Amino acid sequence: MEPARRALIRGRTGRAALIALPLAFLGAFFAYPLIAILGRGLVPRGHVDFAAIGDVLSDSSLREVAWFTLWQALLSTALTLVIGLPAAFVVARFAFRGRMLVRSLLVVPFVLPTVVAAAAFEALLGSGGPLASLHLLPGLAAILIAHVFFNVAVVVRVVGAVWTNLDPAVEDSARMLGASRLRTFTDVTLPLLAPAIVAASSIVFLFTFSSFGIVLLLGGPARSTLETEIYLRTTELLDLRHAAALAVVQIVAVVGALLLLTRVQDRMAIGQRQVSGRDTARPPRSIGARAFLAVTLGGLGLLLGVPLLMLVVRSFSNGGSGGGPSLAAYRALSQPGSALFVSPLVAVRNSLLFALLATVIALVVGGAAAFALAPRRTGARRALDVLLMLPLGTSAVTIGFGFLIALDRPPLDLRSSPLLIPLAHAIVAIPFVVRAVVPGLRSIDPRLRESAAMLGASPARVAREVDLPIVGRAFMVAAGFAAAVSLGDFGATAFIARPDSPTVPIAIFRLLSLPGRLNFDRAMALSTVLMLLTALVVVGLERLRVGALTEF
Amino acid sequence: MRRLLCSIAVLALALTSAGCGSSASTASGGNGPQTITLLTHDSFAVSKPVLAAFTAQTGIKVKVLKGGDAGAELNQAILTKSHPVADAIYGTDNTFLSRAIDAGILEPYTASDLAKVPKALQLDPTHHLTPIDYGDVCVNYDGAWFDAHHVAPPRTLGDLTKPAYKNLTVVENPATSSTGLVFLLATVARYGDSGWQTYWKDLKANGVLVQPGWEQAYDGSFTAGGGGGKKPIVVSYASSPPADVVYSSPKKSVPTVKVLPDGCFRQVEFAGILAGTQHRDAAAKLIDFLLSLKFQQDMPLQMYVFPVRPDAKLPGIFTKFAYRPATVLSLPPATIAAHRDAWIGTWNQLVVH
Amino acid sequence: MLEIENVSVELGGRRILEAVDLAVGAAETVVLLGPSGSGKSTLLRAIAGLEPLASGAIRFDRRDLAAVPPHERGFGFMFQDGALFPHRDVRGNVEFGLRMRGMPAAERVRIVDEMLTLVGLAGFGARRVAKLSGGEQQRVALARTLAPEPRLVMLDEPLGSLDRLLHDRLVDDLRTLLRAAAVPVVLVTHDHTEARALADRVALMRDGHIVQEGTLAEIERSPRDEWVASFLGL
Repeated sequence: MEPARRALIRGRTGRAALIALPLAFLGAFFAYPLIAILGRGLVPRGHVDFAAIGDVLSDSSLREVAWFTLWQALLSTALTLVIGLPAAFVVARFAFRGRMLVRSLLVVPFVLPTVVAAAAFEALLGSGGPLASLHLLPGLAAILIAHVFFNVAVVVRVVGAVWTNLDPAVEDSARMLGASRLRTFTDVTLPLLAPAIVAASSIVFLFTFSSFGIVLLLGGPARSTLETEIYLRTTELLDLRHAAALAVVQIVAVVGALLLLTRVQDRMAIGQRQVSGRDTARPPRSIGARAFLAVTLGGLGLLLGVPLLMLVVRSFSNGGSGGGPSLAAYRALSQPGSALFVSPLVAVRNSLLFALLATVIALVVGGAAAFALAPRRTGARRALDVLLMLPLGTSAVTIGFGFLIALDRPPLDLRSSPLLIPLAHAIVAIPFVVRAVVPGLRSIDPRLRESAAMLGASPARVAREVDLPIVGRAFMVAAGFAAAVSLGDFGATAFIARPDSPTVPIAIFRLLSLPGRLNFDRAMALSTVLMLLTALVVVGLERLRVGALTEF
Repeated sequence: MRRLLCSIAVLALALTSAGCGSSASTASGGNGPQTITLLTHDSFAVSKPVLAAFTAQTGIKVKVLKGGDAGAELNQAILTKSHPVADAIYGTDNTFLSRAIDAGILEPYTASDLAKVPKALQLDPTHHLTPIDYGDVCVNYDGAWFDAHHVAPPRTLGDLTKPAYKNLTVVENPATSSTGLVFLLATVARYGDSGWQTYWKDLKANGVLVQPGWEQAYDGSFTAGGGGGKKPIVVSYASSPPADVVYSSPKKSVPTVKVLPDGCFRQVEFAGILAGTQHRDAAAKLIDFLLSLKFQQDMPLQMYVFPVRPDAKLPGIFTKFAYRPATVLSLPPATIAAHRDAWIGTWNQLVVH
Repeated sequence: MLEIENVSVELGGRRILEAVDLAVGAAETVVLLGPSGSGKSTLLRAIAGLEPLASGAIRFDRRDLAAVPPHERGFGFMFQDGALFPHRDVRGNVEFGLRMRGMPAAERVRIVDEMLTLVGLAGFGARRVAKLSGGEQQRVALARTLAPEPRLVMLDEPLGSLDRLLHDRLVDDLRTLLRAAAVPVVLVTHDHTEARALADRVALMRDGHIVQEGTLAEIERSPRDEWVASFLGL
């Protein structure tokens, strides 16, 4: 082989060698715990034993859990579409004052921690709340409403993006050729939107299938999904064998769903969404259109705004002793109180610390992965890409459970390490980091790198002088994602948090599950604090406005 | 950019070291003032002066870590076996005795006053767990409510399934509440292997409400619980009547909360030293303290349980109003250990779904 | 100075360059002229080390460059449309090569100021490159290329994207600057009037081969074949 070619390959190999770090990291902290789960569930006593899985499939209450998980996810997805499609239409097609603000605000529920959303619905639908008489809490209705609350943003963003770019001339042609408005919609618009609708539905389905915090806090004892069952079996019944079996079923279901959905998407040839920059939004002209706009926006505002408003309002409650609002609950945050070992403010400190550590880890590992993945797509790179996305499909509960049973003994004994929780958060966050940084890297004009090389920069220097500064923005977005994921994580932390160092979501969970006005008020105050923290991070992201947020 | 990264790294380092300082047990095992952690369930209470006296006497500070209800607390301890979150544990009861011992999370210790405890309550001959208190889980009812509604109060467990008492009962979920679990065991002991399932089917048909824990049931749903509840019949303790008087406002001189004579099941609570603790001696002193007269006599008005030591003086209110059942139901701990999870599962299917 | 001997380059399975021979003397400007797709840019990139050779050798000052990676060759390369670093201002771009050589800051400031004056952009140091006009961007790119005093300068369609007026003005500036640099220069263009203005010698390329080379006067006097004649508009 020629020396020149060898030199070139050496440079490319250096880049590819970067993949070693993410692979080792995921191997130790994702694959290893996952294998431990499979081991517990399928090989409990040294030989393969499907008894535990058999129990899951034959035990009627466990089968019911699996079935409930499936149909509530389907129902939630359907409801989200019903509410989200009109919203997508309105935001995509109508120009009105505050349109961009609405688009940004829609994302806030999506990135809100699940415990905060649960607390908001407790404030609205639970005892003492304005809608308490409807008796929707706990129960299926509360779960469904909360799911729609979370996921409307997905439909509006994903479908809306395509809807905005639809050429109105196509629809006009249909009308000129004799199709009524309805006919145009069903025969022309809908088929064009179908790939985006499928994409949005699959995301919503996956999220609601793995929903944990919402079901745990709002569902009551009669409603249990695979996720909550794994948690309850572990903490209440210490039945790790069946918990592991359930986790296996969950993983299989999610992987199966993902494969099915990618196949459907491939067939629909969605590909990358091209930002055409064309905006077909027009101000509403007819009375009907204006009414439709008003009703839809009003409905959206109610659905998304009222629960959060109730949360904030009730955080200023003064313990039911009459009179006006007070800061009593907030002041009480600095005292331990009976239920928590430490004061809620210490939980805030813990959350911030863990978020910082998790973000750093996720940026380093995810950044290395992004650098290795960014160049021309080869078959090997595509496979690696899928591999790195796996933690996204695996729920946080599974990751937390895996950490619990795998990382408390050699070779990786991290039970008392302060890094345990940040590592779990980082695993969940890394796919987001990669998704945010890779497009940025790919957008760099290769001639910039070549210019730098001609001016004397070695390959490592080129990465530092050209790639890194240009993707700096993408890294900021990625950091924001990672921090938001870490601050709000509940599913993984529920398994591995030590009772003497809770995070904010854990503290809120404890406060909500205990009776007593004081605990409830403090839960409201703490949730408001967490909501503000998360909103700060997310709004900061939106201002940086890299396309990453719209790419799911 | 570089400066930003550097300052973030420094900040992270500082916070990590600060975080390490606030973990449960201190590293020092020497002679200076020590701090140990006691893992308990949510209902643990002790009056400040009594605990302060212990610290003054021994130089040991005690931090109380509440870990949920008794079952969850125990599971926490088992799941963190290799790195215990506390030095001693309190709140494991006779329904979870075998789970705690079999899990190997305890170190045996013979408390100094153990001989003073009646043999019948010393359910662990290996001394991994030391009995501290007991209570009788019984059905309670609000006498005032039944008077006001001109309904005869129930007298047996079976009455609860009769139409006269439809929609009047609240119980606790045995999966999440030790009170609920003990009541489930009472029905098993009372009605036998298959009879108990019929009983619960009838209860469910009669509109029983299930709450996750004792506090939600008593404070939240019981008419005499002070939380505006609507159910006049609740599963609680034989020591609820004195509590009713103590916490009444306006002050009552006689409790309106009464106890059903049928179906009481004895629950004994234990304490033990967690294996792997760095402060074994201090933890041992704590166990001795829990069995000391000072604590035993403080317990009744704090946690509304009976001290195991017969020589502990009971407060007047207890002797006057606490219910002492003539007979109590019981099951051998081995039987409980063998069938508990299956019974809970069956109960779940019968009642919740 | 620069010897290109029997060089072939393959890209994506196709032979882009076939058995190319060329020599460039010190302080000589050779223009690679030809229609698009003739392989001129590829040859330039091969000289820079940005494309590996399928066969043949490239030597500079008698030393074989095969084992030398692009960033160690000390050659200047100016891309079409400049390829300026968007995250750095004008000064940050021009001093880049100097930084790579480890030159101290004070020295760099001096040289950048000199270069900017040379290209007629004195005082532009703090400007953001995105805000510059096309002509200004090309001049910054030129300043950046020449600042580190490269041993050889390569330019790929340096004036390609400019309008006629600007083009003519810059051609003169370019000629002056390249003469002053006194190093071998290889320049690629498809515009033969540009070749006329800048070249000492011309190499006409077609389909990956050099079909004729020599001074422009020589080629025009005796074009090798029909194609050469018609390409030069004779």
